[in-house]
Amino acid sequence: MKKRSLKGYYSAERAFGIIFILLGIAGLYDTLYGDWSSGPGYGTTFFPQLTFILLILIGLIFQFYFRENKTKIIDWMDLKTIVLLICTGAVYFQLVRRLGLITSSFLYCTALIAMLTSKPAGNIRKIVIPGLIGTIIIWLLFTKLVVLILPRPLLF
Amino acid sequence: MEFVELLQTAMAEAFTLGVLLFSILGVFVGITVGAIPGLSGDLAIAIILPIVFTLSPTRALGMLIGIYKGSMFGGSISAISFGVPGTAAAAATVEDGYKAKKRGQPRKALFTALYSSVTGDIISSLTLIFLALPMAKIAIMLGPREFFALYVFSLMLIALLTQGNPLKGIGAAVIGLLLGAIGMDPMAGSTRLTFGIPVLRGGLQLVPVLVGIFAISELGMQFKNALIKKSEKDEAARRNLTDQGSDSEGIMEHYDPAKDKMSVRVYLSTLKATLIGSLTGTFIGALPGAGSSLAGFMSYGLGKRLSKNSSEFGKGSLEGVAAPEAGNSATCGASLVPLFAFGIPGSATAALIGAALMMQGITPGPRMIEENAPVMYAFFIVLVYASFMNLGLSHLLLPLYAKLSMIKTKFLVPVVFMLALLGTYSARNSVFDVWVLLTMGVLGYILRKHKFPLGPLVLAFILGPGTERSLRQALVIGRGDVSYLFASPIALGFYGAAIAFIAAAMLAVNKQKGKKENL
Repeated sequence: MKKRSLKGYYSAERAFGIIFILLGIAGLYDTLYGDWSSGPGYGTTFFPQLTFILLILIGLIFQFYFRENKTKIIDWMDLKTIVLLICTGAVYFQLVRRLGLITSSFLYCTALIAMLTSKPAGNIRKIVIPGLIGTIIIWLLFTKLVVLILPRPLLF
Repeated sequence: MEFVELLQTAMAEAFTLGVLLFSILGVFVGITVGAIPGLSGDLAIAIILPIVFTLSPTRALGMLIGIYKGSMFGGSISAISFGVPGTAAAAATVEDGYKAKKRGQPRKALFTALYSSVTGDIISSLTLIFLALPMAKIAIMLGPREFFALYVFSLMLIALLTQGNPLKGIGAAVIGLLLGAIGMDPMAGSTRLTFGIPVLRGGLQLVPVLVGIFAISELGMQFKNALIKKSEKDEAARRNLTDQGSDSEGIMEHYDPAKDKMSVRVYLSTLKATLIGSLTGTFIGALPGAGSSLAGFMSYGLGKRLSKNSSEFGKGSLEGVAAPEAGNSATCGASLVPLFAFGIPGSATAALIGAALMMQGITPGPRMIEENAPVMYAFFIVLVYASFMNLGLSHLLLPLYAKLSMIKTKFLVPVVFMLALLGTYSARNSVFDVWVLLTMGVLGYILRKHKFPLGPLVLAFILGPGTERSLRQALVIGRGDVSYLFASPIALGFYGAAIAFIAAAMLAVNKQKGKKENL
């Protein structure tokens, strides 16, 4: 028997379809009963309503058309990527505003390279030197070409 | 301003040292990113986009167009040298390019790719220069209902012609329309879909959306692949396996440098294929949504069908290198025609260039060339000479590019990611833009993973407000009567064409489905 839970949904596209339908219904409900101001002619809600209806229709078509793809919407490797790259990116951005451009860029760059290197402990030079080069590129670009608005001490 | 005077001003601007240097830099960056598998011109333009606002319009456009042109040829370097296309556009070049290399003709194949690429590119640039202004003059005469029909037609084409499943293309376009609807209503100015977040009143900004959707999602994919590669390596090390490494398939046998020289005769022998590719690419490039990858494959197919030596295709034929390379490069200038004439970006790269224009205070549309004549004429001049820069730089630095294409992803991803983050922040000094960038990055990553084309999403995001404005203006003029939208032969022509495209796409989808079921 095929699994039907959202976690291991047997067709990622159909799960996308359900998300589209739910989003469309919620949006449509909001345009009808939410706090929307009116505008000339058909009003402010007209175009978003059309878009939400289109979204619901696409979601329904997805239910009929896609059946066999067994990939999950997000697997373990995707979660790892989102956390390690994109979420740490947010941390890096906050660090730039506290530790400064050079320190945080060097830390972030070497940390990411180390994550992608086999046996990082035995390859320190292969991690630190590219990290340093990356930091120099970033520093030159954002202090000499594009002026990044940061308190002066933080540019170093 | 008189035409001669205008041309003189444009020439003076286009040939200033700064513009020349930034164009060369753009071409160099473009060829390099094109040569590195996984990176692309789109990605480079998206990353550089937030930074170019510091440059003058001509310098910025010179740099971006340099990247665009350079990346088109750059993709063929790794396609021919290693059998791995540097960009999606160069996928069709692998077929004969890599085999030509294995047959002992790497130089001939690379230089054929270069010359045909530059030829296609110049033909396409001239098409843009001579077609954009007359088409813009026609566009000025169109009213809101015709423009709405044109928007519908373009959105349909973008969603259906983009590679991948057309249904996913339409889904992505609808998401783009929704994202574009956030913020101010383009007619009444009232806010909507802001969820009570004051900073959303101005809508989502173009730069973080474009960079997040295109660049961050692509970097995420590269990062994931690098993680997988690393864990496979660790696993192999744990099992005490040594890396076998060398690819014996890529080794050339009996290489004779004397027989591998590029000459005018070789160029002329591939000229027919180059011209076929150039014309096909120019036509496809001008269609919204079609893209350079499709142009490459169609040019290859047509080149093969019309060649006297069609049996040689697939066995390392130089014509098989020339046709797709001319085809994909010929989309460069042509893809800007809808942007310059109607303000409708026909491809993801055109959208990025459109965004750069807007950041410089130039609004793409029918009046753009007339209102910004000196800058636009200077841009046209840069468009032509950047092709020759591409030719010169590639000639000089081909061995270097082949080496650069081997830079490992693990070194590139962190630096490019930091560039994207800081660049987006520095564009408006807005922390909120950084959050939008990262959110769009996650959205783009998930959609990319499930093979939703991202071009339609971004293009619909850009076209959404214009579509809404023209629809509502038309309905106000027609006093709310929907039939007014159809009471124009031009509008009806666009709707008819859109319906024909939908029908053709549905047939193609059903055919594809039937094939899969038969397997």
